[in-house]
Order: sequence, then structure tokens, then C-alpha cells
Amino acid sequence: MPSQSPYTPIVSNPPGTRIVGREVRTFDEIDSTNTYVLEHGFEGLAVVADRQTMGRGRLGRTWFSAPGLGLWCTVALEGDARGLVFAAALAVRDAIAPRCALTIKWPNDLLLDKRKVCGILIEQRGERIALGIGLNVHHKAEDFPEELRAKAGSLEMLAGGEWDRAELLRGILTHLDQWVILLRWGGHDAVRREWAQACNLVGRRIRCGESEGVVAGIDDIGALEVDSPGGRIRVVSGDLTVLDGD
Amino acid sequence: MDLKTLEDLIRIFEASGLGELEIEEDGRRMCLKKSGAGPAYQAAYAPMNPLPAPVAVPHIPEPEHVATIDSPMVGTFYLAAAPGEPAFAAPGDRIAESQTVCIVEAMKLMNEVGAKIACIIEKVLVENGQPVEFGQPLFAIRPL
Repeated sequence: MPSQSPYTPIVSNPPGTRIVGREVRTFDEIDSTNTYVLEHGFEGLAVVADRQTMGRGRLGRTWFSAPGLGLWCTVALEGDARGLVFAAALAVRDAIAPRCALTIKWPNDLLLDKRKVCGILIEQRGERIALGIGLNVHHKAEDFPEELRAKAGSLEMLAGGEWDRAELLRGILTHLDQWVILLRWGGHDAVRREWAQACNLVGRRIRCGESEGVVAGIDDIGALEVDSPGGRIRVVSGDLTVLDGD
Repeated sequence: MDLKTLEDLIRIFEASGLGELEIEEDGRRMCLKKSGAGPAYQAAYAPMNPLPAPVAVPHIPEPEHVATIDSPMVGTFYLAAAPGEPAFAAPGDRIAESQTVCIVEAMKLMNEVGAKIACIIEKVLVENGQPVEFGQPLFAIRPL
């Protein structure tokens, strides 16, 4: 199926990395890049599609993957998934950093002007890991479904200028490769610290599900230690809202 | 004891149900024993001295080893891939080795937990959406 994108197609040449993106496969259309990797992935493979028909987020939520407007990519890795949540968010932040500053919303959404421009979903099946990244690039406000318009955005909408998805892909794979290598070489704590600092949550009042309180710290796996009215609780998953300002 | 008394005593003993009789008189001891007295003795006294009767003690089966599928990490337990979708596993389901039985999520890492062996799900031990600890049993299973 031909790409419906008016923008430059994503090129498939590998970025010259050691692990991440050693091979890049591109598809005009696919059901889900994460599903493809869970079924066919091998260490280092990156799968990119112009359009996902069944793109998904956390707990099966639909990930809106407009044809040709975003970067829908999944990297296949194997073995230990610890720390990849941090590495993925940092890699996207670093790849975009020369153009604009994204903030990391715990645990790994990326925001620009308080709007979500990137979501990350990591799935593990046995030894195989699918690290999925959905980055909104060329969208205009009207390209998003109405229910998303207030909270979603794209790089082009919010930062302006022209963006090249192939260049973004190379940047993300290159930075992810560096963070993954650091993790593999025992740098878990360093990666976690960098990510925790970027999350900027300690001391903030948050709500997550039915829990509410002040973040006292972030533990080894990245879970939040929250002082709530009922005592110290630990938050390991859920949709987080920061209640005190930015 | 004279001979007549002894003869009477033997007759009475023979007629009796006793297997053995021991008499002591004036420092002399005498023991009468019927042939085959051992079993009779045993039989006669067994009811009065009951052994720990197998029929009286309830049968306690040996404790059965309960196999479980445990959580590989701290996180939130999900029985299905998404709300409204069918559960990966339910009691009575026959599960193949490596088949996914649930998801444990932490930090948006969705870990599909697979059965390490072929088994039948006996019981789901955790409610959907509840937090779980590392190593916490999630399912009781019967290995196949």
C-alpha cells in the first residue's frame, strides 16, 4: 500500500549503532510495530511503520497513529528489561534536545507545553522485549481526534519548523543505543538517577488512581514513594497527575 | 497344696478359658500353661488394650505440594490485555508451556507472565488490578 504521507518517507538505513537499530525494517502499514516485534523480533531490530492499524498504548488503549504524520517505531531487545523504561524516555528527550526541550512525565510520556507528544510502551514476552515509541511529528490540531486535542500535540504544532522523521529515527536509535549500552555495562543506577531528575517529582503533590500525596522519593525500580494521609505508599503504575503547578 | 487339690485345679484350669495360670503358695511357684496359649492370650486381651485403631483415626492425607505461578516482579496484576477483553487464564483452563496467563505492569513495562510448565489452572490467587510483590503466587496450578 503506498504511503499516504505528503512528507519524506522514513528511510531504512541503520544508524551505525552497536545494538539498537542494527537492522531497520520499514512498513507502509502494519497492525502494530510492538506486535510484530513480539512475534518476529531479534536483538537490535527496529521496526518502523508509516501507519499502524492497531497501534496500542497501556492496557490496550488505542494509540492514534495517523498515516504518515508520526514516527511509529519499536525496537526489539532481549533479556533483562530493567531500566529500559528510563532509557527510552531519555533517548527521545536527548534526540529532540537540540531543537526543543521535552519534559518527562512519570514514568515515560514526553510532553511539550504540557501536551503529550510521545508515548512509550514496553512489552515483554519471555526473553523478548518490544520497546515501542510513538512520536507525533507532523500533526496539526485537527489531525487529532476531538477527545485528544486538549492534551495531545506534535513537534511541528508546538515547536514549529520542519521535522524529518528519518532524522528523528536515527537520533532516537543512536541515543537509545548509548543508554542501553550503559545499562548493559552496569550503569542502571546512573540511568535511573538521570531519569528521576528529569521527572522532577520529589516534593511534588501528586494523584495516581485513588492515591494522593507528596512524593518523598523514587526507588530503585523507579516507583514513587508517596507520603499520603494514610502513610507511606508505593506507586508502581497508573496515570499520574501533578497537583501543584507545572 | 496336696495332690488332690492339684488335680482339681488342673481340671478347673482345663475347663476354663484361661491360657495360663500361675500360683504361688508357701514359697513354691507353679505355672500351668495350655498348649497354643500365646495366641489365645493375645486374642483375649486385645480388645481391652486397643492399639491406635486405624478405623478410629480419621485419614489424614499427606500434604499435597501446591504448585504456583509467581510474579516475576513488583507491579500491578492484570488478567486480560485490556479492560473488557477475555482473561488470559481461568480456573480449569489447560495451559501450555510458555502460554501467557497474565500481565504484571510496573512503570509502563507490561510483562506477559508465561507458565513455565504445562498445567491446569486451579485457582486465581490475586484480583485483577491489584498490586503484587516479587515472587508472590498468582495462580495455583496442577502440573500436567
